[in-house]
Parts: sequence; C-alpha cells; structure tokens
Amino acid sequence: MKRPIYGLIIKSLCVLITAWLLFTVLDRIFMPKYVEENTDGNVTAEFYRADTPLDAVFFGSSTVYNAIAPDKMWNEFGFSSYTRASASQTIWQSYYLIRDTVHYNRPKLVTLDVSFMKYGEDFYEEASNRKTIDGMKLSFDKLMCARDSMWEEESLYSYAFPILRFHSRWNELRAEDFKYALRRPTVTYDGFIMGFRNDPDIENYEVVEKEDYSFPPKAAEYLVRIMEYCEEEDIPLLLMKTPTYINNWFPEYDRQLEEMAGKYRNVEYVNFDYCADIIGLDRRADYMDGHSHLNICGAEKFSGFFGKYIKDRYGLPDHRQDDTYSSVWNERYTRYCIDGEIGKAALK
Amino acid sequence: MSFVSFSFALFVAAAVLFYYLIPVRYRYLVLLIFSLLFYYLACGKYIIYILLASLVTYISSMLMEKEKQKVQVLFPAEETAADRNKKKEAKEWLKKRLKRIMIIDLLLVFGTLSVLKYSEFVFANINLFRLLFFGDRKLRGLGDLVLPLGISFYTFQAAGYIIDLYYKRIDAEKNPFKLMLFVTFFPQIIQGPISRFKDLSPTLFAGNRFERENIRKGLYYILFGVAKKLIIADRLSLFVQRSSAFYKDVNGTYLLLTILFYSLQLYADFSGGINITIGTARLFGVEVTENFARPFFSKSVAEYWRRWHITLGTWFRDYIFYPISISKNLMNLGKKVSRVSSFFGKRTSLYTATIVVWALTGLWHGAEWRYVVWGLLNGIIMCVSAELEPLYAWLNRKAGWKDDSFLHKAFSIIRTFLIMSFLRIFDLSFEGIRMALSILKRILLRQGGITMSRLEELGLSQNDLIISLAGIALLFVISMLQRKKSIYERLMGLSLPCRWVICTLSVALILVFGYYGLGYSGADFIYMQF
Repeated sequence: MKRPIYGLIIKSLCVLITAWLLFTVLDRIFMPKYVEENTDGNVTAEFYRADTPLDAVFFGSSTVYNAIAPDKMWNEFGFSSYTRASASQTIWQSYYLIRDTVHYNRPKLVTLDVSFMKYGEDFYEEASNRKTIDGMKLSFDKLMCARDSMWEEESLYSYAFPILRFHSRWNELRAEDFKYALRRPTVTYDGFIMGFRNDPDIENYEVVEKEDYSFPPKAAEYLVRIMEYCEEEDIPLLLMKTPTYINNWFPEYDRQLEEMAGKYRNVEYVNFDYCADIIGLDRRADYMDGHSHLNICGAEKFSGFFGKYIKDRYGLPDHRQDDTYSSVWNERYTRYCIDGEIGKAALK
Repeated sequence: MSFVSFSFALFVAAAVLFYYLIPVRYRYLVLLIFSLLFYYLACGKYIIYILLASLVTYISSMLMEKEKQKVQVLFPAEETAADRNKKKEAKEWLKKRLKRIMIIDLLLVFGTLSVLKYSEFVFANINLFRLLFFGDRKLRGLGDLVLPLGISFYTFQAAGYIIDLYYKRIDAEKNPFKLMLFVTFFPQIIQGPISRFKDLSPTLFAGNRFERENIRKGLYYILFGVAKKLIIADRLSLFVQRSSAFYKDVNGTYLLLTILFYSLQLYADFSGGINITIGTARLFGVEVTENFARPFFSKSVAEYWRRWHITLGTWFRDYIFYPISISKNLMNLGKKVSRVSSFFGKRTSLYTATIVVWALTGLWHGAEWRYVVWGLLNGIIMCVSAELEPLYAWLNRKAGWKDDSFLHKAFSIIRTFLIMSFLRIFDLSFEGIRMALSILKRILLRQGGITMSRLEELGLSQNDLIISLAGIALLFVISMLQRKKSIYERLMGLSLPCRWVICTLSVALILVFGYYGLGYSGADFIYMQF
C-alpha cells in the first residue's frame, strides 16, 4: 500500500518542480531586462544585491533615483544606503516597498519623497507599475502592492508569474533577453540612475492654482500607514521633497505634511526645494527633463547636502574603517566615479 | 469565471481536493456545492432559474414515480398477467398520466427558456406582422431579460431526463440533491455537452475513488482544450470579428478567408471547451460524453452533424426527430400524399421531421431568423443530398472514382468543409440575413488580392497568421492520428520521459503563444452564448 503513495508523492513533486522550472525559465527569458535601456527598471530588484547592512534607504519616484547617489554619500560620509525609488512610484507602492525592504535589510533610516502625494486612486501607469513591482521578490507584500496598483484589466497572477504578462514579447525577443536571462549585470549605482542631460533653457512654468489642495484619500491613507509602520518598527522616517524646478508643488502641501508628520515621534518633513540655493543648484546646468529631475551634476550637489543632513540629523554611522563595508563600497564608488566621469565628459 | 483562467484552475483544484477528502458516500454533495457555487459566482441571483428547473424536474419525476406505483395498486400484477385487456388498459392509463405530467414539466422548463430566450424574438415578429397588416400598433415586450448561463444546455438535459422517464428508459432519481447535481454539474454548464442521465449518472453519483489515471487523463484533456482555445481560437477571433464587422470595406477574398477561419475558430473554441469540460469532470472520475468525432473529416453534411456537437444532434434525433417521424399524424399525411405521389408520400414523414428538427436546431442556436435559415439550409441540403445520392453514384461510376479512393474521399471532405463554412456565414452575420447575403455576394463576385498590412489592420499580424496556421496544421495531424487511436492512448504508449517532454512543451507553448492577458482581447467561449 505504501509504495503507490510514495510514487504519487514523488510524481507530484516532480510535476511541481517541472512547473516551477518552466515558469522560472520563461519568466527570466521573457521579462524585459532593462539593461541596455530603461535601466530604472532594475532599481527595485538590485536592492537585494546589497552585500552589507544598509543604514538608510530612500523611496519615492524618479526624482529620487536621479537625485540621491548612495556611492557618493558613502565616499563622503561613510554610511551605506540604497535608493529604492522607481518611476512614478505611488505612495501605496512605497508602503509595500518599505515593508519589503525592512524584511530583507532593515535600515536605520527611511526617507520618502512625497511628490506623489498628489496622485490618488486614478493614477495608473502599467509600465511604471511593472518596473516597480516586478523587481520585488515574490511575497505577500508584493502581491498586495500589485493588487493596490493594478487596474481592473490586469491580472494579479501576472505579477506572481510575469510570463503571463510578457509572453506577448515572443516576437520581439532580442539577444539581450537570453544573454541576461540567468543574471543581469548591475546597471544602477545602488539605485541611483545617472542623468547625463541638461535643460539650459529657462522656461517660466505656468503655475496652475487648484481649488482643493487636500491629498487624495488613498495617498493620505497609505502615508499614514507608512508613518505607523515606521513607528511600530522604530525606524525614523524622513518625509522629503526632492528639489525640482517645476512649479507643481504648493505651500498648502507642505502645511498638511508638516501637520501629519507632527503626530508621530519619529517622523519629520523637509522640503528641499527651499534649500536649492544653499545646495548651489544651478537651474541651467543641474536639471534635466524639463527641470523635473536632477542630472548627475545636480545629484552630486544634492547628495552632498542631503547626506550631511541625514548623517548629522540621524547619527548615521561611518563604516569607512570597517573592512566588511569598505571592501564592498569602495569598489562600488570606483565604478560610480569611472562611469560618472565618462558621462559628465559627454555632458560638457 | 472563464474556463481558461487561474481562478477556474484554483476553483477546480479546491473542488478536487474536497471531493477526495470527503467520505465516498458524500462526494456527490461536494460536486453539488461547487456546482452551485460556480453558478452563483457566474450568475448571482439568476441561479434561481436553474434551481427552479431542478425542482420542477424533481417534482415531475416523483409524480411520475407515484403514478407508476399507483398503477400497480389499481391494476394488480395478477390481474394484468391474466387479462390482456386489463394489461392494455393499465398501460394506457399510465401512459396518459405520465404524458400529462411530462407535458406540464416540458411546458414549464421550455416555457422558461422560451420566455427568457425567445420572447423578444416573438414580440419583434408579432410587431412586424402588426405593422405590415394593421398599421403601427406595437406590443410591448417583456423588456431586457437576462439569459442565465447555460440555460439552453441544462433545459435540454433536464427535459431529456423527463422524456426518458416517460419512455421508461431510466428509473427516477429519488435523491433530490443528486438530481440537482445532474442538472447543475459545473464543468458542463457553460457549453454542454448535453448529457443523458443514464450515461452521466453512474459516475456522477458514485463517489469515485482517487485514481491517478483519472487525474492524468483529465489534465491531458484540459491541456489540449486550453491549447486549442488560447493558441488557435482566440488568435483567430479578432480577425473574424473585425473582418465580419467591416464586411463592406473588404473584398471577397478576405471574407472567404474569414468564413474558413471562422469554421476553424469555432471548432477550436467549442471542441477546446468540451475538452476542458471532459477533462475537468474526469478529475472527479466523472465520465462525460464526447461531443466531437473529427467533424472536418466528414464526407457529407449529414455525417458532419453526426460528428459535430454530437450530444445536441442525438438529443434532437431521439426526442424530436423520431417522435415526429413516427407520429400518427405525419404517417397519415404520408399516406395521403402517397395517393397523389408515391415518391413524395414515402418521404413526407422523413423530410418533414428533418426540416422541423433543423429549424429547431437553428432556433436553439439563437432567437434570430438567420439561425432559423441556417438550420433550414442544413436540413434542405441533407434532404437534397439524400435525393442526389444515385446521381453521385452514377457520376462516380462515369468518372471511374471509387468511393474509398483517396481522391474521392479528399474531394468529399473538402466539399463538406466548404459547404459548412459557407453556411456559417449566417452564424457570423450579426446584422441578419441581409448581411449574410451581402457577404456571400461579395465572396462570389468581388474577389481581390490580400495584403499582409490589411490583414494586420483586421487583427491578424503575420506572426499571428503563422502561429494560427501552425496550430491548425498540428490540429490536423492530431486528428489524423486519432483515426484509429485517441491521442491520449497514443501518448500513453510513449515512455514517461517522452510524455513529460511533450506536456512541458505543450504548457510552454500555451504560456508563450496563448492569446491571453493584457493587450489581447481573448473571447468568451462562442457556445456559451447559446
């Protein structure tokens, strides 16, 4: 009687392993690699490659991954960090990413760019969702993040098994897809994406006043959740506004955020827009994409200022004398410098 | 919940798990609970219709049973055995009673179907009639009635059960839950097949023990069905929909391609769905009747209909065709006609029954005249073909073709496929008969060239075309292989590693080339709408 049961168990296991292998292989081949272009699609995933504990992790939208350079801050201040931002990262996505981050590599400080507090339930960009969520390891948080981010025509299963979404790429597969199927090279600089463009023309962006400045309910709800979660986990949270030069941010937003942050022990809010002059950001040289993002020059200035601020404010440690850290981070900084200089030369 | 969705897969997995965890004697209850849940998830409050149909069927069957018992009291066995007249009297008495119950039952179940499915059609036609003959007086219809899922299928199944009881082909099921399960069994509720009680009930109620063979066979069937649906049917669906919608803007060659592809799409869709049904039922050890027997290898229209949607064909044959063709009235009519013409007299009952059956088959497919015309054309072609049989035989003799020669078979098969494809124009023509005739006219008179860019505009890219043709070719090869042995038996004849490779590759092909997910507009199962 026993043998058939063992046989059945073994066969069932074989079926499950085959299915898992099949899905894994197909997922790896068909998922966009974001290596030669759209490298921001790798920001979320490369977080798992951090070889040391992280002192700080920065969340938010593309303004963040173009503005905060962890390798630069390592070199100047000696703390380890990662920019886990992504294109159009909504507040609810930040919430799940923070949870996921704490689960894998609990930082001493979390910062969140609040630019996307303006966007609520009706905000939807599938490409950005994919870049943000597909990089997360399969977990309950990932599925919840997908559930809260997707629109009705999407399937939650396709976030667990991306082949269900990307199988349509079968007629556009390139050598890159096979080359990087097993392992993608590291393309970001600990989450930082270097921008080698600038907008020398100064335009006077029109300020469109609004009737109602209150945040959409979904964004507000998730910000509260983030603050509560950080409070529970006893991780300080810095709500911040990364400097940009477009006039779509209003003092009314600052007031609300200050008020919300004030209710929590470990939360503060800083709008770095107001520090642009102190940082020394040059409107003609340090911005790109219609002055909505910092380029490499702007990012280096901002990272220097921001790094000092969080080191002093939150007492982040200096690991530069610690071999465990320095062996990893010095190498990363070298890569950052080489690639940065090449890009900056092209920018000039 | 679509058959080709993860939700359905999880639903079935849960049902299978519960089914085999529950003691054997209660397993049918698991199937019933999941069937009702499935129906409720699909239709919500409209579950009431299927519950009522089950209830009516159960009450009727119990009343019939009661009458059968009553006759034994009124006409004791000793008396009927001794007296022939008494026996005849008892028979007549019972027949009359059973008939009355059957008619009331059929009126109720078909009445519901008629009101929900055909009332709009009837009112529209009455209004047209009134408009033509009495001015513009209008009868108000019953409004937009929702057609509950699978009503045409479960109504026919329930009606078949009562008719079988009347003819004493089966014994009544005394357990109301079992009967309800027979009516609502979820794998076959969407698009059939229309099972007979005597075929389905033994394995449906048995509380089958777990057998690997059932699971394996079920999964193979499901895999095959999903592949047909997602790789072929849904891929062709967009092109068929668009080119038929823009039939005025495309030349006849595109329309010819459309009707040929529609035939193949319909086959892949419907037979794929039936494969999933059979496979899902098999996971519980339940054996559901096959509904297809390689129909595109038919050498005549009549043969085609013996191989396509077999359960509907046999239902109409057993419950409509036979009773009509041997009915006293029709026999008498035949005799009367014989007095004028023996040629027509002999054929009166046969052809009348054929035409009635096909008009009803057309109506079963939809409450529109185009379906009726489509059905009638099928019937007429069959009658004409039967009459032309001697002519064909003579032509074959003259041409020196033997019936079993390859060329003759190939010619007959292609001819049948083309006839059936052309008849499907009525199926495709959602605007009505005029549209069908217009498409036909364009196919016959407005031929022109085909360009890849135009095909792409119509929803069929070059890659889609290649995959569709490859899928159809594979389907053709599989059908050829099935001439002597089913594909499942052939697969089982292979070594285990070979089977694993084939299955893994099949799943991979479905995952990669399946027409599903965001950006694709996969279609529901076509027969679901009937």
